[in-house]
Amino acid sequence: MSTPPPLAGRLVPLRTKDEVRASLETHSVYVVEVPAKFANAVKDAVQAALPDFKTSDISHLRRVVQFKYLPPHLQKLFYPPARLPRGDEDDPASASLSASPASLPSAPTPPPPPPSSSPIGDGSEAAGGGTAAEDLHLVRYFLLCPTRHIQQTDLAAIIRTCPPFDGKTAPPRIFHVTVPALAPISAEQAAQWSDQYWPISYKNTNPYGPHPSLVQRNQDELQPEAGNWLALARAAGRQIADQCLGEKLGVVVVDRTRNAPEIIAVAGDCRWRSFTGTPEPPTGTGNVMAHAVHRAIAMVAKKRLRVAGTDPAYLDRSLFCDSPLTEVEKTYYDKDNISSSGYLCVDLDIYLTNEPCVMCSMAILHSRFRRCIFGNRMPYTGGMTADGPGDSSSGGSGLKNGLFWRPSELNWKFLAWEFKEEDKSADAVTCFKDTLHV
Amino acid sequence: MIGTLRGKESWTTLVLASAALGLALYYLHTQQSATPTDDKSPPADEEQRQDEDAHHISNAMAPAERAYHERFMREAIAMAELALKSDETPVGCVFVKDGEIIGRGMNETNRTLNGTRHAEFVAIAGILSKRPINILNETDLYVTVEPCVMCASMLRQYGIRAVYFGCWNERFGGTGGVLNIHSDPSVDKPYPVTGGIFREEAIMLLRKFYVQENEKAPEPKQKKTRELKTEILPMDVHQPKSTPSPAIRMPVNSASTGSIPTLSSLAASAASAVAVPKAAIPSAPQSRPTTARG
Repeated sequence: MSTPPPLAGRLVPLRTKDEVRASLETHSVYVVEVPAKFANAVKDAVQAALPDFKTSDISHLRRVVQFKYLPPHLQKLFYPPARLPRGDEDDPASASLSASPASLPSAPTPPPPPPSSSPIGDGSEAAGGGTAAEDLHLVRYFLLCPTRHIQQTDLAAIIRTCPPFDGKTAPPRIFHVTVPALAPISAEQAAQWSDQYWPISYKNTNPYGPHPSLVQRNQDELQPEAGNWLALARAAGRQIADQCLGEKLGVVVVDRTRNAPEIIAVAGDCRWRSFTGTPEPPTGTGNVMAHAVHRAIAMVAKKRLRVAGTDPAYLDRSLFCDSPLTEVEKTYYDKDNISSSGYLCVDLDIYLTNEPCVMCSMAILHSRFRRCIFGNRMPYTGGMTADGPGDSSSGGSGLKNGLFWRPSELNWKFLAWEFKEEDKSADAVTCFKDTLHV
Repeated sequence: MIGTLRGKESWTTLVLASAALGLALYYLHTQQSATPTDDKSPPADEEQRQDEDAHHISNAMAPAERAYHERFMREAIAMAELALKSDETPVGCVFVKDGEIIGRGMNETNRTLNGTRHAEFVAIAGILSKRPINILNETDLYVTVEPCVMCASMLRQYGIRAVYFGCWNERFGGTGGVLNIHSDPSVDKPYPVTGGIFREEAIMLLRKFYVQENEKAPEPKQKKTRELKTEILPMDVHQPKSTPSPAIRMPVNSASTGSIPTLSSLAASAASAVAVPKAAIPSAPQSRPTTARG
């Protein structure tokens, strides 16, 4: 048979459930303005007062930040820096050298000028411009802890026990700053957050999903051919729908572990096929177990049985509809191109015309597929996406299960993409009810 | 003592040892975590809990009602025992309409090489070859292990009336064990679930399966299969992991039933003071990764 022309489009990796959460969750932290050399004393005092607070919870945030590295909105908020007493001299170069701890507290402290009454510098700042510029380099913005750990008045009391706030000087300036609650998943996100919230420390990992470089490597491999297999999946759906046996939904299973991609199974949806094989009126759910994913998985299993010398019809049941029914299904079912020693669908990729329902998403997971690529999202019924409807025109908000990557809860995970078609044909987008289970 | 149990002594010994261990660790656990904020700390008194938890059937139901459900769960267990004899993960189920069993199923994943051939699928394939789909709206499922996410969704799409199960499935349970597919927002009608009917029997069947496989396959044949992370410890297959949905009340922690420690309760209670006796937990088969169940 002739192969259908490939679909044109690009792969977009799905976001995991944890990534979605990490990208949305923020909380408020305390930031205190402190001379660089007193930061450690303040840190120790606060740490001692908050035994429950673990600094690992904020390890994705830079702890001590110079004014010039703050994002613009915080520079505006913090300006001008207070004229803090900083020990025996004001020269930053010698400050780093005069590290004798004993000399610091006893050193003469110049009285601080009264804090400016206006938040943004005006005439009064202009007079001491040179000093203000120096302050910008000397003070640091020290991120203490999330605000839920302690009341601000209690915190202020602790800080006032530390130099340089322990004298009768200006009170510490404590700010509330909104920061991302969880670590970034990529360098891009870290850069964006550093500009939007607070300077971020990115550790070149993704704790909430597959590492970006892994996703990219796989995507580069799949991108050139994904359109072919999705076109084939669509053809499988069309052929079965022409027989009135199912919806226009199809699935292709590909083995990409060898030099050339090998198509292992092609299956269309079969929900409207009766027990005896005749078309049934398309009302209700139809035969849920005959969704294309389940048929394709069963065909893979039967091919393994056949190659191993077992009757593929072993324990067969008509309702599973797992024998090939259309020309394209038969073509690939008949090929003995699968190893008998393989386990389930390990190392295989699955392509679908549409996002699979929760049942089929979990069937893909149970079968240990390697990668999953689908065409259109199903915002009322799909089980793969975690971030809502995407740019789908449907009114559904998405089930947000993100089943492909939940390693702390489910016993398998795999990479998943949606395929954004360039010119979506009306045929592909509008021929289904929103609430259809794929 | 515990070190000698693995794969040698009868499973009843294992149960007794586990029960003793469970009670000991449970005692430690309650000692350690007796804070008002610890909502996982089970009430010390089993009697008290019976009144509180209407959905733990073996505790809370009227005797006649309990007997009704236990009768069908016995039939499901019989199917699971048949699966065990067939070298399948021992999960069995029956579907009941008007007090009559209309379908039976057992796990067939190993023999079909198909990880989706769960007991529920097998049973429904039989039922729908004789009856219309909408009969499931008046039918209840009794299954020895909590339905997995896949089966939970399948049952909801078909419109099952209610689900009764034995033990929880902490790996991929879809009705409270991990996710709440039965009650989450969806275009399909939710269904009620009740867990804990002959829970210990369901767990012991699973344990027998793993011990049996261990004896058969002492050495892994392929290293490749090792990376599959298919190891499924039988002890973690009977306790809800997620927060139960508001719609359905379920036992918060099966440690409260006292008899068998769960993997997580073991880990939690033993973390500080007691070394977890790993040998008491039969390890998963290495050479043949076990396919899904439930």
